[in-house]
Amino acid sequence: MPGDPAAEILGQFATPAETERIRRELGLDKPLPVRYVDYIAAVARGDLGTSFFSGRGIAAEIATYLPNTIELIVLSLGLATGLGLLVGTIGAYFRGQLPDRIGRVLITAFQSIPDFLLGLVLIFILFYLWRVVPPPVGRLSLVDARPVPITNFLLVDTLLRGDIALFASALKHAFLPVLTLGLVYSAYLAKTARATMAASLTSAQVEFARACGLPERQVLWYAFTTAMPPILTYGAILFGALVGGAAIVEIVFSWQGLGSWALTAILKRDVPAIQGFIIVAGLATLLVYLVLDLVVMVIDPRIRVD
Amino acid sequence: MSTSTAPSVILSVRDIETQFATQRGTVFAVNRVSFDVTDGEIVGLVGESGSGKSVTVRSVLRLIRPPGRITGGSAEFEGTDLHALSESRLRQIRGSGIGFVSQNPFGSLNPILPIERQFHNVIRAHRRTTRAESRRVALQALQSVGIAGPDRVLGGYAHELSGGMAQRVVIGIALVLRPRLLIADEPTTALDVTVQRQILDLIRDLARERRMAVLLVTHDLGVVAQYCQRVVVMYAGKVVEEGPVRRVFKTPAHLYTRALLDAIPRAGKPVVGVSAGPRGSIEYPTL
Amino acid sequence: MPTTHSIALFGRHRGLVFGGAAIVVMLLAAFFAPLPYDPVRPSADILNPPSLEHPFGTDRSGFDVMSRTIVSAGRDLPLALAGTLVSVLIGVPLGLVASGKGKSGERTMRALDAFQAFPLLVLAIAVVTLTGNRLENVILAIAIINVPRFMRLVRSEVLPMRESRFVEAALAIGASPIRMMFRHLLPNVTSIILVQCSLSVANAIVVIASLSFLGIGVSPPEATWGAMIQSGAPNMSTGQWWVVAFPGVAVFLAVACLNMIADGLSDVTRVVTRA
Repeated sequence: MPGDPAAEILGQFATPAETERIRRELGLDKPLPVRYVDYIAAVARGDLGTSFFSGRGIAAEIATYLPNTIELIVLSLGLATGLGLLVGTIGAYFRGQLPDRIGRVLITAFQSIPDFLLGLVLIFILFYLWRVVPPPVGRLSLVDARPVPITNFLLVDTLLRGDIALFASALKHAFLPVLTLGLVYSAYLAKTARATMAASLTSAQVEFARACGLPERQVLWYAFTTAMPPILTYGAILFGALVGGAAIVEIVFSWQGLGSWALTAILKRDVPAIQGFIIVAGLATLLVYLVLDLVVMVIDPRIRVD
Repeated sequence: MSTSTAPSVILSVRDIETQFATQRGTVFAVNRVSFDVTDGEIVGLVGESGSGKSVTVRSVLRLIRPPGRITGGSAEFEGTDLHALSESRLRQIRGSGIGFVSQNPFGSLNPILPIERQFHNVIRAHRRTTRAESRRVALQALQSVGIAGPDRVLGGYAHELSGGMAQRVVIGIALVLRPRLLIADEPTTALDVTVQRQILDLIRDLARERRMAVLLVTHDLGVVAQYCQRVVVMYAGKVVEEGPVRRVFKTPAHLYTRALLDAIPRAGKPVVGVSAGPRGSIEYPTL
Repeated sequence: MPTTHSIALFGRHRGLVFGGAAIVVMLLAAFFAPLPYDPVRPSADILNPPSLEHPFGTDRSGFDVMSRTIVSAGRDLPLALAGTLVSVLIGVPLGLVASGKGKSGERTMRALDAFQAFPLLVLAIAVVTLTGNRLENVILAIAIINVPRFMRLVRSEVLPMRESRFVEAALAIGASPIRMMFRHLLPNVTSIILVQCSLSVANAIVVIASLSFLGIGVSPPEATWGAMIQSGAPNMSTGQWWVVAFPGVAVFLAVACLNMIADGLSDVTRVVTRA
């Protein structure tokens, strides 16, 4: 990998001797293939190495930061899915009429705004102007004491410890980042939802259901269940992408997530950290697709193995 | 139900107009179409692709969605104009007064609900019922459409059925509430040739048993000759001829009807085509 | 070739015309508009709200926000366009190659699938950081993100054509495959490529803004929209909204216009290819 970690660690005033020493300590003097094999062997043992910078084990760092990102993604995609389905379904049902045109404008607008920009705008409006959210200093306010971790998932831990005040504080601090990501990604989901629902609403199945006199609510439900699989798939793709893709929003809100940790690692050439991030991002994506397959199998009887 | 001995008109379609707004302008898919269906008879609605026959029958039931719009006309079913009804009253008639079957059985059936559930939903939409009661009625319905082993079919899903069985199930659902009129839009086009016969025979037998009228949309004149008592010929969104099948086939009054009849392949005679489709016609999306 | 018929159609697609015009205006303004102030000259007027002297206000180094916003267009937009152009020049031929007979095309697509599942922004950051904080590497990063998209697009058009009987027949009478490609394939693919180009330029603007927001690929006091947003970010909590708002609106406008162009193009080309 280009860029010399040893030089990064020591800064610009390092002497060649010091640089050489650090390189030997970090194992950077061994040839690339040897380093690669060593790494794979270590990962197989569960050892992801140690950060060049913090000295902590990579696994420990990931265990600290990943849960924060997971909570952010879960809440954001939850909002995005709900909002996207609503706007998309309305757009499909009233295709070509006013609600649809309004929806299409909103979708284009929110797809045109970068997530970090929306986050900053929301900070200005909701924090500075209206004072309805706490300042964006992180997951909790500066005076809140983090609970001793059980699962490392903050929201879960505060509930498990019965600390409702802290739970509320965490939720309040989560409001803006969740709203930011939720709004931006709801636009993408709405676009998909609109397309699949529109196809579903003009399908022969919906026509037959109407022709048999089923109430419109039930007809909509029929259309909905047929349209779900592509939407779920897209949601899963977004989930996997957000594990690293939420990085900039995490930075804007000091969220202490995996993406922001990975960014710092890249900027500082922290090789073990970068490698660890790649592995975790890949595993997370695989896991999400696995869950998706299971969910689709439950919903759709055609896919079940007899 | 009519108590007089003379057969009465069960469906009276007058001057139906349906338009579609497309990027290239307005398409007049159905252009003041009128015809009657008498109680207990099988009427064939025939024409080539693009003639507007599918859109016509959907207009009768008000199943047209944007960008299509019904802009005029009436469809009186047992004396009530379907086009003047509220949505909820119309919904009551759909399924219980008029049944509807279209081309693709797998397109019509819900792929993720068991067949039993689909029967139950339709029955429940029109009257109070229990799961057990619906199941009983559904079993009867499946038997009446000639499905052996209705138990297994009820508990299964659409994708487990063959094309012919699936269409029988669709007919079963459409007729479960004993409607007086069945509208069938090309019910056999998507099926194997061997199965087509069986389904048409089934429809004819059911019509006879239940004294039910059938509006059968088809492009196949042979089907019309075999199964229908009266025929309505459509071309470019208009009715060009209407009358008893015997009379129309023997002495067609309209040039187009004559051309259609001439185009039927006969052993020993050269094949004649119907030249040139209607000008400016556009392939309608088959729903 | 646009016929008079399709030019008439443009009148109906206001979004396309408006979007296209707006982008052109932005580019022209960036290169030719007279700047009220020197965009990289600091002054003592720190964090002034918008006023007659400084219509967009000033930032924390005393730079005039309006001048910097206009100048940034001259860096961000051409960079996005260049990156997309490179992506097309590389992606389309590669896509054609990947559409050839044999399993290698499919395997390449699988590899690209896995590749695209990775968070692409992080990838872009990695590329620019590790290869050097220079303009050319930003273009490289954009190309890396977009080349798979174009490859996929080209392949999805070529494959059905390869299987079509029309092509079979033409090859059977001795038409050369390369000539076929140019005369029959490219016109059809062109419309889809154009639409994807607009989307890619829009996406590239966001990537460039994100990179400069993180301080990557730009060296101060160079003016780019992302860097301007970064310098004004802390001020959003303290109420000085103009430092972020104006470059933010610029980014939003550029991206929205390009999205509108893409939508309009896909409408227009659909009609033209049907006619």
